[in-house]
Amino acid sequence: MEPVLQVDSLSKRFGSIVALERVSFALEAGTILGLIGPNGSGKTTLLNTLNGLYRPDSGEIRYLGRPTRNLRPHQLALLGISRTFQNARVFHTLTVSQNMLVPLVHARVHGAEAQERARQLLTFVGLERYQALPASELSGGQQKLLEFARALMTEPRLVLMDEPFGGVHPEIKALLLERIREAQQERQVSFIIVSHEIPDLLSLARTIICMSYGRIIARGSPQEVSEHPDVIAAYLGHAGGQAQTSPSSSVSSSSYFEQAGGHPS
Amino acid sequence: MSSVLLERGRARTRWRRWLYGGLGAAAAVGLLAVLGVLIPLDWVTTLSAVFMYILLAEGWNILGGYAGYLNFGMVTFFGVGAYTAGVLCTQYNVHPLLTIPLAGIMATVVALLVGVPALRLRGVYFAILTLIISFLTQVLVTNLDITGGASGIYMPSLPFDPFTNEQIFYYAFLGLMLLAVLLAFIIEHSRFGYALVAIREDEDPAEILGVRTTWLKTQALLLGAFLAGVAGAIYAFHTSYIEPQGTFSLDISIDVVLMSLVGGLGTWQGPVIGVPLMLVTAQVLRILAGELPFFGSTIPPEFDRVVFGIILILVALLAPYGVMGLVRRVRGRRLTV
Repeated sequence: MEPVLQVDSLSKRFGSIVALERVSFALEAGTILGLIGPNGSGKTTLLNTLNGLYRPDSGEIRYLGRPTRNLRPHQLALLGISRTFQNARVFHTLTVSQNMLVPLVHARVHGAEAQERARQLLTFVGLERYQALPASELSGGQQKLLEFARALMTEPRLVLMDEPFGGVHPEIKALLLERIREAQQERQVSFIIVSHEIPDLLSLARTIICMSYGRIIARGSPQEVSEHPDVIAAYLGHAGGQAQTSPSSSVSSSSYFEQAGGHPS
Repeated sequence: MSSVLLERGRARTRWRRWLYGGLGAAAAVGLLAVLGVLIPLDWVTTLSAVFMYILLAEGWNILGGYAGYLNFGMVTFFGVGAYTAGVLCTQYNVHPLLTIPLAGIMATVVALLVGVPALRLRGVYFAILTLIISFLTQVLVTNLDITGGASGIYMPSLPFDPFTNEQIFYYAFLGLMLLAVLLAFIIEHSRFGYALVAIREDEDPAEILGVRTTWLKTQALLLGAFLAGVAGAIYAFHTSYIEPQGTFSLDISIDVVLMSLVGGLGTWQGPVIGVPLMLVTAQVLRILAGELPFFGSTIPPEFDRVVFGIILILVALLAPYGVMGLVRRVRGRRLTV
C-alpha cells in the first residue's frame, strides 16, 4: 500500500543553522506518527516544510505519490493536508462558525452544506453552543478544539498538529485525544503530531520519531523510542541518571517515559 | 430538545433582525430618493459628494478594511476612470453613458497590472508602493498628449438647467452607492468576506487552511478599483473639467482611508457612517473658517485638514475600531448585562 506521505533526505538550513538534515520517513494511511525532540530540534520546521510554508533546500516530499516540494500551502491544503499550530491561531474577530467556513472559501460546497459540515464538526469537538461567539471569547483550550475542527473542514487525508496538548486543561486534553483517535479510526485521517506532552503522545501514536539538531536520532514503537539511549541523552543531556532538561519535570529517564501509561496496540 | 429550542430561538431572532434591518434600509433609501427633489441645490451637491465618497470608501474597504491592506492608491483608479471617460468621450466620440462602465473596466485592468506584483508585498511595503503608483500615474497623465497634459480635459455638459443636472448626478451617485453598500454587505456575510478577514488577522494560517491569499486580495482590489473607476467617470461629467492635480490628488485617497477608519474598518456600515460625519465636519469647518478672525485675517480653508488630523488621533486613541467598534462594544455590553 502506498504511504500517504513519503519524505526522503529532506534538508533545510537558515543561514549557518541546520534546521533539518537528511530527514526521511514514511507515513501509512490512517496512522498517527508522533514527533518528539527537545526545543530547537527541528520539529516545527519539519511541519512548516511539509505544508509548504518553507521550501526545502534539498530532498523530496511525496504526498499520495505526488511530489509536493514546490507547491504553495494553499495548494497542499486543497490536496488534503491540513494543519494546527503551537499557539492556536484562530481568527479572533470572526465567530466560531465563520472560522470554520474559511477553509471552504474556494470549495464547490453549497452554503447550507458548508454550514451543516461546520455544525457537525463543532458538535464533534463540543463547541456547537459557541457557534455565534467571536473566537476571541473562547478559552485557550477551546481555541485548540476549534483549530482541530477547522482543520477537518476540508476532509483532509493528513493533519499536521503542532503541540496540540500544550497548556490545555486536562478535560479538554482528554476530549482532544479521544477525537484525534476517532478521526484516525473512523475517517481514516493520518496525523503527524508534535508534542512535548510525551505521555499523551505515547498513548496515541503507533510510531514515534525523535529529532535532535535537525536529525532523526530514533524511530520505532513508543517502547523502542522511550528506551533508546540517544533519546534519553537528547532529553536529559546524558544517558540515564538525574534529569537536567526534562520537558515537564525533573524525573529520571525511565520514570519520565513510564508516565505514558501503556502503548497503543 | 433544549438545543432545538435554542436553535429555533436563534433563528427567530435572526429573522427579526433581518426584517427590521430591511425595513430600516428601505425607509432610508426612500427618504434619500425623495430628498433629491425636495432639498435646495447646494445640499443636493453636498449629498452627491457624500454618496460618491461612500462609493469610494466601500470600494476601498473591501481590500483595506476587510483584508487589512492599507491602500493609498484609490485615487489612481478614480483618476483612471475619470480620464477614460474624458478621453473616450471627447476624442473618440463614445456615448457618455457607455464610457462609465468602460471607465470601470479600465480601472480594473490597471488594478490587475498593479495588484499582481504589489499584493505579494505586505504591510508598510504595500502601502508605500500604492503611494508611489499614485504619484507615477499623476506624472504620467500630466505628460501625455492624449490626456491633455497639465491643461486637462473639458467634458461635455448635460443639456439641462443646473438644478436638473445636479439632480441627475445626485441619483446616479445614490444608485451606485446603494449597489456598493449592497456589495459590501454581501461580501461581509460570505465565505469570501470571512477569508478576507482571516487574511487581515493572520495571513499564513489562512493560506495554510487553503485560502489563495494573493488571488483573493487581487479580487478585492479589482472590485474596489471598478467602483472607483465608475465613480471617477461620473465625477468627470459632474465637474465638467478634469486635470491631473485635482483628479489624482492624494487628498482623495487619504480622505477615503480616514472616513472608513472613523466609521469602522471592515464593516459595510463604516463608510456609511464615516463619510457623512467627516464631510459634514469639513463643510461646517469651511463655513466657520471663512467667518472667524485669525491674527488679523480669517482662518484658512485648509484648517479642516488640521481638524481631520485631530479626529484621527482621537479615533486611534479612543475608538480604534471607529464608530462601529463603539456601537458593537455597547451592544456587547447590553448582551452580557
